[in-house]
Amino acid sequence: MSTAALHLLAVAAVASPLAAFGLLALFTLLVGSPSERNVARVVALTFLSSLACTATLALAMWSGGVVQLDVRLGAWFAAPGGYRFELDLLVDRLTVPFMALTTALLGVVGAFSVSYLHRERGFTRFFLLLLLFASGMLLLTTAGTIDLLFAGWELVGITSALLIGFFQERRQPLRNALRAFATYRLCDVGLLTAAVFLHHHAHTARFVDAFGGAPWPAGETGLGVGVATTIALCCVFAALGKSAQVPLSGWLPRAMEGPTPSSAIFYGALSIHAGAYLLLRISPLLDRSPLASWALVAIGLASAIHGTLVGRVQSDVKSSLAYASMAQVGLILAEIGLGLRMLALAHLVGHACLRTLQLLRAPSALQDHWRLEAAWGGALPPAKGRWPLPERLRSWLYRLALDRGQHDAALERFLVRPALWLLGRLDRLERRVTGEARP
Amino acid sequence: MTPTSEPGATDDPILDALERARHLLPAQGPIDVFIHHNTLHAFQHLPFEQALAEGVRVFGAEPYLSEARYREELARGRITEAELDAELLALEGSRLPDLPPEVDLRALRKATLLHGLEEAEGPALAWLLEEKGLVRRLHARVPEATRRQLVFDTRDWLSGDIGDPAGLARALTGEPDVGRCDAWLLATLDSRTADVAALLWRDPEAIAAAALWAACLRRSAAIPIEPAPPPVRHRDRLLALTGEDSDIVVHGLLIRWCSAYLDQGLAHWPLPGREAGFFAAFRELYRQGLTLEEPCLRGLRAELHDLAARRVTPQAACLEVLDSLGVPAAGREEQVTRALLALPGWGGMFSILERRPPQPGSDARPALIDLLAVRLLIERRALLDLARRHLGPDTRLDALPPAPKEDVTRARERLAFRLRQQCELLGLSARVVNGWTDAQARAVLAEEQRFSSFERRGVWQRAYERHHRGKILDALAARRRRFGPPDRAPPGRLQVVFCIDDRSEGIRRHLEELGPRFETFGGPGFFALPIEFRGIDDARHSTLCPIVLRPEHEVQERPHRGDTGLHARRRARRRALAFLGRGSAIGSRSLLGGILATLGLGLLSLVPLIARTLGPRLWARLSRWIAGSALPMPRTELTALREDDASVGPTGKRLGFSADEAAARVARLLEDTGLAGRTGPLVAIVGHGSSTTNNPHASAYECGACGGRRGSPNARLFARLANDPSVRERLPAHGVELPSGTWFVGALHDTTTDGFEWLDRELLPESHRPLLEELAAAIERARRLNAHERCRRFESAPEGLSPDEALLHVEARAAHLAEPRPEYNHGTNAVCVVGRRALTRGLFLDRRSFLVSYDPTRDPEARLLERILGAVLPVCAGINLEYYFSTVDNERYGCGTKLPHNVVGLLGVMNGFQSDLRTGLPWQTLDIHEPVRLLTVVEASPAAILAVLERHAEVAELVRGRWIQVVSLDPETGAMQWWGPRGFEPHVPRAVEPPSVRTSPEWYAGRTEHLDPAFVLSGLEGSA
Repeated sequence: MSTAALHLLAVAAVASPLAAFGLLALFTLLVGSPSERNVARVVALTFLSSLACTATLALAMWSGGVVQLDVRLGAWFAAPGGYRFELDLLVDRLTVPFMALTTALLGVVGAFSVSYLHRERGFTRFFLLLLLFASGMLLLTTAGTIDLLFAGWELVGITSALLIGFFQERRQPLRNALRAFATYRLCDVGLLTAAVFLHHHAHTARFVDAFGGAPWPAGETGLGVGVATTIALCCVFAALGKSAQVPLSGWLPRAMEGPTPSSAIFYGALSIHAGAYLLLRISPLLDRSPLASWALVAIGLASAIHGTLVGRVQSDVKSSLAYASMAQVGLILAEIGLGLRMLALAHLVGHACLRTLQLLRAPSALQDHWRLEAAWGGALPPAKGRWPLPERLRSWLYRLALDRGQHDAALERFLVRPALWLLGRLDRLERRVTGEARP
Repeated sequence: MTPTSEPGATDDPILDALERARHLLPAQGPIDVFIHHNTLHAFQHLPFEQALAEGVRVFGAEPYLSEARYREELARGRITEAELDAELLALEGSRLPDLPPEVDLRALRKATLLHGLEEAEGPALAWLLEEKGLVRRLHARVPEATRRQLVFDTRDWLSGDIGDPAGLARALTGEPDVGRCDAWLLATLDSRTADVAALLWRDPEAIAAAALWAACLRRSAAIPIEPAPPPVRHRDRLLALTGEDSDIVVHGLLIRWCSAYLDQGLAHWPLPGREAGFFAAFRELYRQGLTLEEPCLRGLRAELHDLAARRVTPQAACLEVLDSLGVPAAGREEQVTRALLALPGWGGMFSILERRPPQPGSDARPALIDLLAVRLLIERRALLDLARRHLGPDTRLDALPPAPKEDVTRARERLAFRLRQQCELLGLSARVVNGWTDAQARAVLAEEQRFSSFERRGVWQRAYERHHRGKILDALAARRRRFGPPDRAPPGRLQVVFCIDDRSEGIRRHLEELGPRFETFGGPGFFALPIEFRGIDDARHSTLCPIVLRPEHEVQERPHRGDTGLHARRRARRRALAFLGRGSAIGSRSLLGGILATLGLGLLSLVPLIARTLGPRLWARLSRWIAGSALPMPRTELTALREDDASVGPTGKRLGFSADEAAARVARLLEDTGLAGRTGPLVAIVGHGSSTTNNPHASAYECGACGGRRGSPNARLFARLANDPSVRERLPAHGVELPSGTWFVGALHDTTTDGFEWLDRELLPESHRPLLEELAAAIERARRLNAHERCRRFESAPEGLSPDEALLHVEARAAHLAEPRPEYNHGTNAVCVVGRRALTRGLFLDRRSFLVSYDPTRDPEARLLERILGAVLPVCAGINLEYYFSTVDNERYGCGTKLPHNVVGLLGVMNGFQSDLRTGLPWQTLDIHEPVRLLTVVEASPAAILAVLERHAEVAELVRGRWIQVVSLDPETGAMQWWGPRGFEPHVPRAVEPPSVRTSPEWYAGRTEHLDPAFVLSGLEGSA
């Protein structure tokens, strides 16, 4: 297959959800809510074509021995001073598994949602957001520049928050959506800073240029250790929020407010692994920076232990699965930090598939339990921890785990309250200076 | 601290209050057994409407559908204006003495019903007036004729004063100040001229509306405004004062602890110290050192230390908190009630589990008082933090500042807006309003209050029910008119006893349409056999009977003697599978096991994921086939008859029935259903169950008469007992003669897949095999048609399915991982008929009727009637009322949409991350439900029914409180009497003839809505 055809396939895979989103959104705005059947048709067609493009692309690359595809579509806009927002796609051995995972799981979850959300108010809204999320995820994974990756990253973030708050008429989902959104925005600072540093020091936003052009995972960077460490740490910070790692993990169980399939695709399968993808993509920087690598390993392991411990005491299915995800993603990040990229990739793909199934089957928890009991022939033996710990330490650990590591308490005590206090003081000072009375 | 709070001194006030509050909590237990019951059971001793009002007061729940919804029903003809008029006429109420003569009460009420009122105040009202232009336009919903009358009247009135500016000014603004009047006109009408004549000529409606609004505002100035009573809970008072909700903090903590405490096996690490009770467990775990204290709960740890040191009991702790909140002794009960009702689901679960024996898999000892104590302790800290942050560091909770007073202008405008809408609906202009005395204006508003939204919706609801009642009773009367009274038609050769369940009506009708040789009966699906049952695949016993009964017998399923080896192998393999399954389920969530699971099973999990979503039926078949070949099922038998009188099962109950006990049970069902004396050669006993996937509410779909489980063991047991020679020979002693040629066979009908399974068919004698073949062939046809009829209600089913395709479709639904509506359950229930099948055979009742067989001709003393109504009505009414309440307020009485549900503690579901335990029914079983009180037609004279009411308290409560609509149908004359507000009153059905079709599909084909009754002639052949 010619290179032009491969380029076309890559663009089609990414563009079809975006086009479907645009079409559906325009129709809804101008004409009114389309029928469920039509929405389902559009969604099925979109994910099928996206999946078909991805599969053909993967086969063609594999059979043609192409390991890297650099698609340049020109600049979206240029700014005075020489900045150009390049629309570049990069398809390589890291991208293809992610594209395949994204399109396949979205296809299944899309099919699942068509019947699960039947007759629900917000049916069209859900699929609009799902299409937008698909666009964001594909853009994120195929982006050839860190700028484009950031665009995808933002789409994933905003759709995630909007789907957590899917049930708009209830207060709690909205509060929790806001919480997730705030965490995302905080961590976006990391990615944005990384982009700025990359521009400043490497004079490019292209991964190919910055990492020497060798196909992933072989890339190398010519940047100095200090710069590499800074950029890598910024990216690690960005990944913390998106992949719900300590100490910014508190939003993850709270994100289980939306419809079950959206929880599955975001927090079991794709969105939660976006941080891992980012770190895999910038792995040459991690190679260059032992500090960032070890920081990543430490954070990953801490999250894994935190997730496991807290997950063990959760008495509802979705929280229990959320913490299980957090733990595995922590391990994946640690693997990346240790340089075990292929293992991390395999681990990630397997984890995404398994967790999607488990989350979609979350409503079965009850029937599963009774079925197991029946097969066992009586009450199941308790699955208590096997570590020989003294009773007092056990109950202290339990308390800590039930309070989710007391992250919320710590955040409120050491961050939120002092910040509010300071702002209050500043407010009072300003009023005294300007002579304005309290409202 | 006050002296009353010494521990042990005054335990009782809190416990007393708690006991009274307990009744208000939901009565739904752990969700693996879902029992339908009257959601407002706490108020069942009151008449229905009063209970609804209590529901509004106590739970803040909606009593009826919305007025907009009823108006839609009127528009589509589901309610007619004539029915509305009839209900308005029946509405009692004298005229208020001060009501002005211009107000025509009936016209006003009718107009209010038809056009509705709008509630608005403050910014919402300002928006309506300014942005929607209501200050210069009459409301859009005012009918044209009324609008014209109002405008013309204003014009005539003002035209008389055109030459007198001062007079005009007085008319319009109440003062003869021409300058102010002009300014008002310019501002209000947004015009460039203040010339009234020109305005009247150009846009009379604007000036009419503006004048009316001004007049109403002036009137409302003289009406005293009653301040709203202060809220009971401190949380509400602080919410009003600070805008911050303390419940967010309290519930965040409390729900986590409640679910961890009550968990029956979902968490791998249970809460330590559960056996000491919730209060003690919380106290000990929470007060540990080396933990951070949430800033919003500062002081809680120290307080728990103090409580532990002083050994304070939970009730004493409650008293201490209430005292420190400044709650007087008289207000304690209200406080306790409100505190518990802030999280009713969790409170209800504590309350229910407290009264049950300890659950397997849990060492928790729940007690409601513990929950209350923990809640109050947490809540006080949260309130204190909130109050101190917003109201100053020295704020005391027993001396909170009063809530800010309502703005007077805002209150006046609200009143004026209500007054204005009354005038608009009656076409009364500003002239009339100006002429009223203050007392008259007050009376108009009082009348509006009297005919409140609650009353209006009550009228709508009764009209809604009247319409439905009329249709059904007309059809019953027409059937009698056309096909004669239900005389004793010759018995069918092949008889089938189904459960009374409304879902059985379809398959019964389809079966009977195949010819007069088929006859069906309806009896409660436990078939008079209350048992504790354990099948060979069950972990423990389950109670198979209505919850009001306590079984005295235990029955086990055992492998056939020749198959014990097979059984042992099966058990061993199942155990191994369970070990693997549990291991991988836990492992996939643990740290290192998770790596293995994700790497090993990760990609494999795509297979079930894709298969169960895209090809659910194939997947189900495949897994059945694999299970069948890997785990072959041994032949089994039931421990039906007791071998010797001493044999007792593991539950401490008698293991199996004695021949005499069995004969009594068998006789009872045969007598109740009217089968006795008309049995043919083969009688099938059909229990029912359901099979759904990925559905926490699975039990709600099973047989209610078997306590939320499938009824096949009872059906199988009944056939086994009734076929037994030793039981047979004792039957005459119980008043039933059974021909020796009669044989029984059990079966199971799956209401989701319309599957049909014959039980122990090999035990039937050779002579009866052909009969069974004949019946089985007919059932094959009937179940396909039943699936076909069900598919018309599924919006997601393709149109134009054949019966065979329909069967495949419903099978796929049952196995589909993403199907929230595997079936509609009792979603269409509305009617219950207690009487001979000959009343309803050949009538299309749309799968909406519980059909209870009862033969009044063999029951002169209403002895059978009493036990039938006593057993059946509470169950049917429970189902119907649960559907009613879950529909009218799906958020408070029901459990909302299934989409975000999250199984917690194996007890129930929460919304998403954490919420109250959601009780009641999910929206997905209710979206086609019509909430009407069960129309119960009893084929018995009023005297017989009254006699039953005398003897049976719960039935009397349901009938007299009008929780169900009861109609007596005289067995002799066919005369109908309806139980109205004043007891039985004659009901004269209209002389209308339902349409006639040959078969059911002719009537329902291509239609998706609820259908009226029709004659299905093929069901009537030979029997008429």
